[in-house]
Amino acid sequence: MNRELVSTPAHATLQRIVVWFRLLAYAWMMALVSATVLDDPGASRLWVAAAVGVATALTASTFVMGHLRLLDSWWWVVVDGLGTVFILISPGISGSSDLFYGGFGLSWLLLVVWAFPAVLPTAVAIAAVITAQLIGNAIGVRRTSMTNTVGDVAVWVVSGIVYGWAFWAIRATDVERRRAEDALAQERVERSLAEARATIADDIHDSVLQTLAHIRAHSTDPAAVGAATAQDRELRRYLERLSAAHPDGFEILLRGAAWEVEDRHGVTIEVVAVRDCPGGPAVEALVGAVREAMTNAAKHSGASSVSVYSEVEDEAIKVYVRDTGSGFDPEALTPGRGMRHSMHGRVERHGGAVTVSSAPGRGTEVLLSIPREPS
Amino acid sequence: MSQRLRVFLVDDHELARAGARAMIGDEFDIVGEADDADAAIELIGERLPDVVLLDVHLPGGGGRRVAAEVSKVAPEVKILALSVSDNPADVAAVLAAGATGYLLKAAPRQRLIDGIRHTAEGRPFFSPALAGYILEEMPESEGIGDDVRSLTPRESEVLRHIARGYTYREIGENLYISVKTVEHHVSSVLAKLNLSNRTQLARFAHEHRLD
Repeated sequence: MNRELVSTPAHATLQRIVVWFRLLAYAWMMALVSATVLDDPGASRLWVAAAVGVATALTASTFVMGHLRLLDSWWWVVVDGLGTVFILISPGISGSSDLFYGGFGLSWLLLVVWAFPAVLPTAVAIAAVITAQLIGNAIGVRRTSMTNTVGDVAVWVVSGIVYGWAFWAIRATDVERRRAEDALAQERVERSLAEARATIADDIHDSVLQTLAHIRAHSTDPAAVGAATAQDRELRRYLERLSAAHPDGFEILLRGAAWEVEDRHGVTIEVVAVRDCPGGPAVEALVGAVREAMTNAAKHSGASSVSVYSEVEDEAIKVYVRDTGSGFDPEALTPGRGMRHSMHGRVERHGGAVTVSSAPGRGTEVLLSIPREPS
Repeated sequence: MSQRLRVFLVDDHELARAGARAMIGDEFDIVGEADDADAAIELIGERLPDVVLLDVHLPGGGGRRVAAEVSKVAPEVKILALSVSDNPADVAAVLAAGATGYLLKAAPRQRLIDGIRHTAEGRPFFSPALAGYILEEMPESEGIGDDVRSLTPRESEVLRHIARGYTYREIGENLYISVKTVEHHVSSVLAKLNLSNRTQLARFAHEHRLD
C-alpha cells in the first residue's frame, strides 16, 4: 500500500464519501425491504430481519469508526466485509424471489478502495462480492438466467474498477498538488532566508560598519581605532561566511588572508573573487603564496591599497595581486631567496606558476595560478 | 579642474552622508542632501547639481524612483548610484532608471572621487567588485548561452582589468586601445546587464505564468 496516498487530506475528504454512501445504501436497503417483503410471501421474515439487523449495526458502526479514525483499519474492513457478504447472501437464504441488496455491496467496495488504494485488495473485494452474489443466486428461489448472472458480475467488476480508479485519481491529483505546494513553500522559505541574510548584511553594512568606518577615519584615540578595526574585521568575516558558497572554500581562505595582511600592515586590500571552489592542499598552498604576495605589496610598494582579483576557472585558479606603488625593474632584481623558496616554491609544488610584472613607478602585479584539483 | 563640481547627497542614513561629506567635501561642493525620495526629487530639481550620489535603498520609492524622476525633469544632472548591494537586479534597475554609474559603498576615497568626475562627464563607472560579479553571472564569448547576456572576449578582458584594480587609462595602455574604446566596452556591458535582466524577468514571468 502506498502510505503517501493514504496520508493526504484527500483521504479525510474521501472518508466522508464512504460514510455517506454507506448511509445511502442502508436507506436504499430499508426502502427495498419495506416495499418488497410485505407482499413477498416466500421470504422468511426472520432472515430478512437478521439482514436488516446486521446492516443497521454495520451502518451505525461505520459512523462510529469514522469518528474514531478506525474506519481504514484492516480488521474493521474485514468485519464489515463479512457482514456485507452475509447481507448479499441473505435474500437467497430467506427464499425471497426479488430482494437484492446491491447497494450495500457497492458501499463496502468503496470502503475497500478507500482504505487500501491498491490493485490486490480491490480485486479481492470484487471477488468476494461476486462470490456472495453467486452463492445467493444459486441457493435462492430468484430465477436467474445466464444473462442475469453475467450482468451481476459485470456490475461488480465495473463498479470496483471505476471506484478504485476514481479514488486513485483524486488522491494522485492531491498528492501532486501538495508536492507542488511543498516545493513552493520550500522555495519561499529559502528565498526569504536569503533575503533575510541580505537584509542583515545590508543593515550591518549601513549602520554598524559605517559607524566603525567613521571611528577609524576620524578618531584620534589609537585604542578606539584598534578596537573599531578589529570589530570591523570580525563583522565582515561573519558576513562573508553568511553568504559564501563554500563555507571552508577558496574564497573564505583568500579573504581571511587578505584581512590578516590588512591588520598587520595597515593597508587596504580590495578582494574581488569570481566563482568559488572547495578547499584542499593545493588551494591552501595557493592562498599561502597569495598572502606572501600581498605582504610584499603592503611592505615594499608604498601603496596604501592593494587589489586582489581571483577567478576560479574550469582548469585553473588564477589570482592577481596588484599594487599601484613604486614598482621595480624585474630585470635588475635577482629574486630574493625568500621569494624564490616560498612563494614560487609553494605554487610550483602543486603544478602552478607565478609571474611578476612591474616597472619602476608603475606598480607591481603578481599573477599566481594553480591547476584545479580533480574533485 | 577649473571649477569645482557640485554634488548632491541622497542617503537615508545620516552617518553615511556625514561620511561622504568628510570623504569628498574638500574636492567637491556639496550643494545639498536629502534622506528620502520625495525630498531628493524636489531639491535636486531646484539646485541642479552636476552629480547626485544616490543610495539605492531609500524609503519612499527607492533610488530607482529618484533616478527616473530626475532624468525626466533634469536630464543634465548625472547620477552615480551608491549601494551596499551588488545584486545585479538592483544595479540594472537603477541604471535602467537613468543612473550613469554604480559604486559599492565600500569604495575607497580616490575611487569615489574618480567615479564622481567620470559621472559628471557622462561616462560610465562602476566598482571592481561589480565587474567581478558580472563576470560571474554572464557567460563569455558570443554564441554560448543566451546571446543577449554573453560578453565578447574584449569586454570580459576589460572587465577583468577593472576587477584587477586598473583605471580606464591603464586598461587602454595595456590593451592598446583608447580610453574612449574602454568606455565603449563598459557601456555595452552595462547595456547587456540591463538587457539580461530584462530577459531574466521575462523568463521568470513566463515560467511562473505571470504573463
